[in-house]
Amino acid sequence: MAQGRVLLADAAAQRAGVMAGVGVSSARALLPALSLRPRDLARESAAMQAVACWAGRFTPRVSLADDTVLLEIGRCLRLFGGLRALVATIGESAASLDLSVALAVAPTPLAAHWLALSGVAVVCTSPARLAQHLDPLPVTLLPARAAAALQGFGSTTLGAARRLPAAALARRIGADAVCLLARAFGELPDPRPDFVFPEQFSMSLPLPAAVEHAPVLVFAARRLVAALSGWLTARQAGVRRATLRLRHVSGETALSLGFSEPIADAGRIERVLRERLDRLTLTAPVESLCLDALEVAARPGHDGALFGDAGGERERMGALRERLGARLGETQVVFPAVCNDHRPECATRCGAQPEASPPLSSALLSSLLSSLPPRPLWLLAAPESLREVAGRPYRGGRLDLLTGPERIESGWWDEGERGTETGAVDVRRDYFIARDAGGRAVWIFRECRAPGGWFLHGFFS
Amino acid sequence: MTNELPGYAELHCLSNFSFLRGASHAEELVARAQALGYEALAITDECSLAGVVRAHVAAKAAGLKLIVGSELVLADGEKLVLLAQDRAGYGNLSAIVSLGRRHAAKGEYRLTRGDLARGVPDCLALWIPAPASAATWAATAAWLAEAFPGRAWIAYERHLLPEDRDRLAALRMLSATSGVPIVAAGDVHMHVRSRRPLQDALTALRLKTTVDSAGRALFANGERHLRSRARLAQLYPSELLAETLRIAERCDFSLDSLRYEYPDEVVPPDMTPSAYLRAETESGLLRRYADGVPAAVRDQVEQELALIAELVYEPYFLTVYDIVKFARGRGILCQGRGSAANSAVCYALGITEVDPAQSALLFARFISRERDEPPDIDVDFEHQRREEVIQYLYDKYGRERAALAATVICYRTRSALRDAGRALGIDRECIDALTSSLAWWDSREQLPQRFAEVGLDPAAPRVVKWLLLAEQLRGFPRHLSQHVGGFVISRGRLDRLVPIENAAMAGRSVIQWDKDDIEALKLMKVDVLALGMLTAIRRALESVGARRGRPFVLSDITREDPAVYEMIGRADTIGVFQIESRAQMAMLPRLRPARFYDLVVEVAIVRPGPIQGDMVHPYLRRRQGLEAISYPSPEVRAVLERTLGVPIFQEQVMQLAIVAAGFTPGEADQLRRSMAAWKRQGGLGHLRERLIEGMRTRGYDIAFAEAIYRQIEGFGEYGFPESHAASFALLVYVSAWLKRHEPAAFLVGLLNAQPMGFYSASQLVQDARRHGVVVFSPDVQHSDWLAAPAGERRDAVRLGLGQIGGLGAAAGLRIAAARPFRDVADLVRRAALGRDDLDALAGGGALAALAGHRRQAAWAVADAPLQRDLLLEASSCQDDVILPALSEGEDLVADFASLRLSLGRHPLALLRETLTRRHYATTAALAVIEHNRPARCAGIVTCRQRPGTAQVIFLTLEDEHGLLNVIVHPRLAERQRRELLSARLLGVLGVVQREGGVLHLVAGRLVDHTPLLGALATSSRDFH
Repeated sequence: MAQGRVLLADAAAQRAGVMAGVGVSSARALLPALSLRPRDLARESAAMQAVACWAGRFTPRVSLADDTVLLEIGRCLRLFGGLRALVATIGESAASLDLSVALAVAPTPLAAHWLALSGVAVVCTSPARLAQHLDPLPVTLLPARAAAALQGFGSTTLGAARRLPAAALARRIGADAVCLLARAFGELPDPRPDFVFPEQFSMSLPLPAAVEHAPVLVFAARRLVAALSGWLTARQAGVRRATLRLRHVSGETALSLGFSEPIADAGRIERVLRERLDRLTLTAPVESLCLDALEVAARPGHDGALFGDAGGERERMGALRERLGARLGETQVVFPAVCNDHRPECATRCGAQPEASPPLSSALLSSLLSSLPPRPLWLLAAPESLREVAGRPYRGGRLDLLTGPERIESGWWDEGERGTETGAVDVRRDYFIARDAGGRAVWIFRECRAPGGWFLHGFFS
Repeated sequence: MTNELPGYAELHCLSNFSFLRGASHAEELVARAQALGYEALAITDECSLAGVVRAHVAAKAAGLKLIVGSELVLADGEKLVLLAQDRAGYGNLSAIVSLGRRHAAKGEYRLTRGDLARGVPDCLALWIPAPASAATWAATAAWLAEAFPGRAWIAYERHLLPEDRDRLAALRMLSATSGVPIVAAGDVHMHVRSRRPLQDALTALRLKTTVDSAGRALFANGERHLRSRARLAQLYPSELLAETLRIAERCDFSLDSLRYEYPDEVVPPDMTPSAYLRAETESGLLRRYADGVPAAVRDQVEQELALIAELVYEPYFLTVYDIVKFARGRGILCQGRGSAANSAVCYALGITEVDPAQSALLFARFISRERDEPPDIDVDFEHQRREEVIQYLYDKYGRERAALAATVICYRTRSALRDAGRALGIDRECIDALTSSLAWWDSREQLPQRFAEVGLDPAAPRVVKWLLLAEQLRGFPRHLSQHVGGFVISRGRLDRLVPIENAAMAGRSVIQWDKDDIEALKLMKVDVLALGMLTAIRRALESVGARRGRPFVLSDITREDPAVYEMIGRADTIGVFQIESRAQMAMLPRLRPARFYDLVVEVAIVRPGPIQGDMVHPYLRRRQGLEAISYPSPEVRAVLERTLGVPIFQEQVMQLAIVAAGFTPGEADQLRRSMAAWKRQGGLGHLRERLIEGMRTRGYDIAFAEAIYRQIEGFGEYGFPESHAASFALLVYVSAWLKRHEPAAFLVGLLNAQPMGFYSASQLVQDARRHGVVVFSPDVQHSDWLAAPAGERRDAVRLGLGQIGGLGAAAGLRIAAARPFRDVADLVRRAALGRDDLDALAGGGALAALAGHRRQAAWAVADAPLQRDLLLEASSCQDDVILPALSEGEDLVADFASLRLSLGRHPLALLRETLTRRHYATTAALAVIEHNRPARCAGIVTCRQRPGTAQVIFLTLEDEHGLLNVIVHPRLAERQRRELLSARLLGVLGVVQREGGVLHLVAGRLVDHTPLLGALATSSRDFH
């Protein structure tokens, strides 16, 4: 949905009467359990980039137009065994990636675009028969103002619009709209800008639902692999090393893929990937995937420039991390980060990757952090219960309270919620800095929630 | 264990009028402070005195000393709390708050040290030093000591943070070096600790984040509440607590001491208010009663003038008189209503049009001696010209002495759910899903079901929290908005009485109190209200006058015309003031008004109050002679005779309480207020005892007393005052007369006063056409901007260009001034039209005379040489293209899209064949079906209504013959909720119900036929 209206509805929703153009409130009235997602233009354009890369498998001349990919296939027909075979291959490949496409072939790019947009899955090769296919299409394919004006004149199809005198029409709906018609019908040339395949390959794919079993990720990664393969093909290169990063809610697992020689074949890349994933146990559900091509080289038998090392800081950090992880064990390498929370146990988080910036503006955060109260260097994973003697806490000797109490009461929103880490509850404690019998400064608290009691939470030295 | 708890007065406390900071109502804070045994409580909202009246009322009732103050954060970041010592100090505080608000946009304030440099005399200042500015503490303390000599303190507020001890030491040292004493305070944001979640949620909302992400921006704990004195003794040194008492002692100001003073420029310089009022009344009487003043009226006038003189209310009446005089001088139609409006003096002054000689109103309630309150007059003005009156008031009295009252916009169920959900980080989709599935009649109990319907588990912890927060949030003030028209005018500077803020609208200023606060403090307020019907009537009168060639005014309308009452009795009242609604039209055939007083009753009786109190049926039965009327005593007879023994008006209930139960007028007024508020505040309990006892001791039997009590309960806040009803009844009659005798002029008036009333332009036009008015569509060759009579004809109306959607007023006026036109090019040139204007005209069919049907016009207009293209003169005539005309259905769709109405056939006339095939009858056919027979009817849904607490829902369907009212019972409403709420063309299968000439269709099943409407745009009014 966008701007309060439904853009696209799946079959189940359409059955209940939720169509494109329906207002959001009406949609909900029709189907209260409707799940609505806002339009994410960034994701859409990233997806288009991926599809464009995949299309590189079939032809180097790819062009993007809104949510349509144009493939100039005149020169590739022989490579793929003729038009029918090529169309079938494209269709199959798209299906295997779980892409639902509307496909049309025409002598002009605009005609192909419009036909595909209108769902007319025709393969038209002769310019002479083109008009026959285009005439019944609606004028709404033209820009809005022109379309509205044409509808105002009673012309609702392209054919009807073409029957009006051209010069008079041009004065009324603008020369641009009339030119569009001419270009679609092949009367004017229509050169299209080529899609520029990116220099480096790094593509993300958010998953529609969190995945808990690694083998399932193979299917999800397929699109990324296809895009990589298309990109490589268009550049006549192959990949030697790549990383597939599995992103969790907090943290990331990285899989490195290595190949003995530069390859571009999607099937081979996928096989290697599958091997790795089959042996992987996930520590947390995966929310999104990211595929980076780290080392790319020209494929043997092709001449092409070597591409520069993808390089960069991220690369080196990643490599270091992989080596440490390999030596100490994947889960032993953690990056601590400051969290914005009053509760001590929630104020630090350890993740497998360096954290992105916190939600509050950095200015606000820095001013808050500058007023941080004294905190121990080391926090226990779980507070340790202390004995109480004559109303005073006891740990191998009496504890002398030095400062305090510091009352911390926060976190009621996590109370009773499933899936929160231990300690993430409504905290109600009076904290004190105390000195134990050995002269060590410790951080203790008295629990205000029933049944109360004293606990040790950290050490200052 | 010592029993000696230290005395304490809380001097720094925010109520929920510190928006998105305070988490408790003033009433809760007062009650808690009282329970804890505080000496006093200061309410110190942030740069605001908006909550002090409520606090004052609560504190008075609880017997707690209240200190009035305000927290101010200066531009340099220093936080101060100012407390008013006495009346003068309060005025200074109010003036400072106004200053701060005036220097910033709405909702914000800005004060610098310079503003306070002259000190704020008679105010005490508490300074809460911030740790961040420690470097400048000494300087600030010095400044403070100088600006507030002997009246400044440093406040130490302890909230159990690690730096408390160090802070106290530092502040003590500061106090020693600067000489400014130190005192304990609480920075209270809520009344009990358990409000912490709500306070956190408010903070999150204020920072536009969620509680999960707000992190350290939330308070670290819940210490900012009213703490027990035992706890305070543990937390603060005793001398700091004792200092609070010393401060509290120096504050001795109560809002009761605010005295209101009327402006005095309303009286000519050489006359006393009394003399002037007398003079104007006399000349008014001469004007009203050309044949001599009737004796009864003369008596009444004398009594009223004596009472006004006794209570010294002359300036009030003269102020209102001045406003009305201004309006009449400008030809703005206006009418006063309210308790004081229906007095002979007001009739003489022209404030009201209800003639005391012709109506038997008991006026004794209009001012009550005991109440010691200024009288209450609301004046309705033509809604399109009310702004002139408002600007007159600002010009005359100045922005410093006149301002609008505020309205406190509070959280309702939907907004509370929305904001609470946002604070909890609930998915926006989820929140929207829930709130939009809430019909306005859903009660609290049904919420869990609504949750389940949208896929939320009502037992999920987050949902539970959501509900809890939303519930607490309901009723919280959200922001101040300007009241519709309540003006407060004072003699001295208003901002010394109450702070004045900038309103959102430019050129408007608003005080921080709402009408309840104003009433509680007995300030004068004149309601300058807008009434659409006055505009409609004025325009209709002008139209009639223009056609007749001489002015036609209200007094030219013959009164008590039987033809008019006959039309009313048939419920043929679409467009008539007050009696056009569905509920009214269902009552009219049963009540059959035959004279003016019947209209007064009709206006008052079709309201939730009398309906719930079960007054309607007895009244109808007695009117129809089906029930005998008896009065238990002559006193009761005197009160109830004019309404056949049934109490219908608010005044009658009060009079009954006085004569039958022995209440004094003051107590009777208390009863009236309690009636208005009892639902919120829990019952008339003690009053019930008094009422029934009082009646019993005066010899009335228990059954009668109980019946009267039940009726009073039913009244609730909906009982209509007789004076209001009488003022309205006049407009009812006038509008009905116009509809009956000058329907074309009446349509013109109504159309030109839109938006107003119960019906859309489409329905008004359809109704007029059914009554024989010929309506022509907008046309550039004939139309003005506004609707007008068509030529010389008495029965025809030409719709105005203003009816066309997308056409601007400036363009429309130019067209009207320059017509007629030779062709499209001529039109474009002489009316200087742009592309959008032309498209709108073509779409509205207004170019029919110049360019043919819509498509042809669109073609012609698409190439029309616009003003800019001076060189392209003759190109349009070369394009001879013949375009096919639109089909009838397409024309209809275009009509509705552009004009929101159609002069062609009704959409359902086109669908009639289809509907007949599905066995739907027309509304006309239904009119002859007998009671209890099954029937089916389909129509466009134009109204959905669920009155008050009634469970049934009323629908109105429209077809080519007229309207039909449908009743939907609650079980069916639940079962077919979707059809009920979203269908635009609805088919109803049900049973006919006839009662006393009123027809309803009781629905058994609903069928959604909206797809048949295709692209047609329709709209429905849905309301209470």
